[in-house]
Amino acid sequence: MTQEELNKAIARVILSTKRKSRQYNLIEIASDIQKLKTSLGSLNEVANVIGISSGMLNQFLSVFKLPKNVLKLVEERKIDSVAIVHYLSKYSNEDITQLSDLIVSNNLSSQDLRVLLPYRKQFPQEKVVDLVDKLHQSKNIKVSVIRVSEDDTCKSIDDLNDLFATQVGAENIIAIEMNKKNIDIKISKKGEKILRETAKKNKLSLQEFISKIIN
Amino acid sequence: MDITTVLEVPLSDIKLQGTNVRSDLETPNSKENIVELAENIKINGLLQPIVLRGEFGKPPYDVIVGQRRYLAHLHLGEENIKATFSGEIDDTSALLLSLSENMCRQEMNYEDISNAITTLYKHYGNDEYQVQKHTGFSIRMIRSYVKIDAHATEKIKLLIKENKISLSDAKRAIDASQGDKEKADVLIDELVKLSKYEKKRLVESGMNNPSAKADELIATAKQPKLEETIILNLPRKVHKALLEAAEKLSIDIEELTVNTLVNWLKTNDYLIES
Repeated sequence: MTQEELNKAIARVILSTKRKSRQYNLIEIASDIQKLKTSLGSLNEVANVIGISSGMLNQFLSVFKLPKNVLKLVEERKIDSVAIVHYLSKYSNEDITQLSDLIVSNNLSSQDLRVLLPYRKQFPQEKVVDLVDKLHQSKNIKVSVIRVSEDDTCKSIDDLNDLFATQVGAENIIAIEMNKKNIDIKISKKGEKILRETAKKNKLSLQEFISKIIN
Repeated sequence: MDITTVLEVPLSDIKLQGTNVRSDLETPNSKENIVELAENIKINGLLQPIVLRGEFGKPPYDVIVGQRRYLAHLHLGEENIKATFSGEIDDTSALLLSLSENMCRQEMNYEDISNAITTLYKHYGNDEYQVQKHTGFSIRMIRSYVKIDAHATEKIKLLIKENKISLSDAKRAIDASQGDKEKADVLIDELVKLSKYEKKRLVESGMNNPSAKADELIATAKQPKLEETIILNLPRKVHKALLEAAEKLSIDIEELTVNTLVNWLKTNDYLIES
């Protein structure tokens, strides 16, 4: 590697490891890190030059442990998180393939992959997707409660149910209950996200958007 | 004597006296490793001298570092081994030397690490920071070993030794059972089958309800909890007033709301700053 090539590789790695939005996919970054490691002699030396830990650089390099079919997803940037790649590389190839489908469909986070790992070791005979289901079902259920005063709305509970179902989908409404002089509209976190996004699209704050729905 | 001076020492002058932290050398796997190491030494020679306790010329000597290399030499029927001498050092210094050397090499078993850490912990007057200072181990790791040594049942210790449970699960069983050893033994069997979230709930409910039976705790652990976040829809008048204030003060409405709430809690002695 010439000095110019070396400098360019260093610049690319710095740009790709220290920013949230990256220009390159993880395979390209890992290849640069690999080249720098060969040129500079060790990963520690690369870490010194780039200014991030060798542990973090190793996480990028773990992309090379993934099977070819999953590497294609990384190349297409359908899997683009270094934390996901790092945890994914700790599973068997068969598991990686099944888990990567869930990752691409946004049904598995890096945190899920981390927590699933010891669970997988405990139950090596079970199908990994079944374990993911069990894991998801064992999580605490996060509920967003929209609490409105009874005096602030003229709508009945049934009306509110219909109105919120139209906005966030019936599947995201957990319950609508009277609580003393308040009405608690309990929706899932996904429902809250939809509500916030819709409010934003309508250029309203969440508060204003909720007021609009209930009046 | 300088510890870097390498000498040829007769194997007959060496007597193992238990200073070395390794106690797993009699297992079939370890014996196999020693045969392999002996083959390697036969081909390449001894690349690194062992460290002996004491002073050259005053046998018998104990092995502080390099017990496997010493046993490999015995296996080969050698007469001498290359060694350096630590000089006369106390038991704690010998244990520290042996521990730090071995932790950086082939993975040690739970029992050996536990024995070494708890011995040092007691030596330093139950001061985990002293153990950390002398070994470089994390406080978390030291606490885990000390806690398990003091509170785990024999069954739990055996399961760790056999690599059937993790140190974290052992600690969870101890915390959830709140000193009830019978309960801890029941919980540990079930704990390993639970997800991380269920384990967390098991510990929480065990600590909150020390009198609960093991099966009740497990049933609670398997039941996901509702975690509610309340989104308050303020009365219109209050919302309007907040908007006006936020605009006048040029700060975000959320920041203003938090500040107002904090001020009220402080004024009424509900929030005390540390």
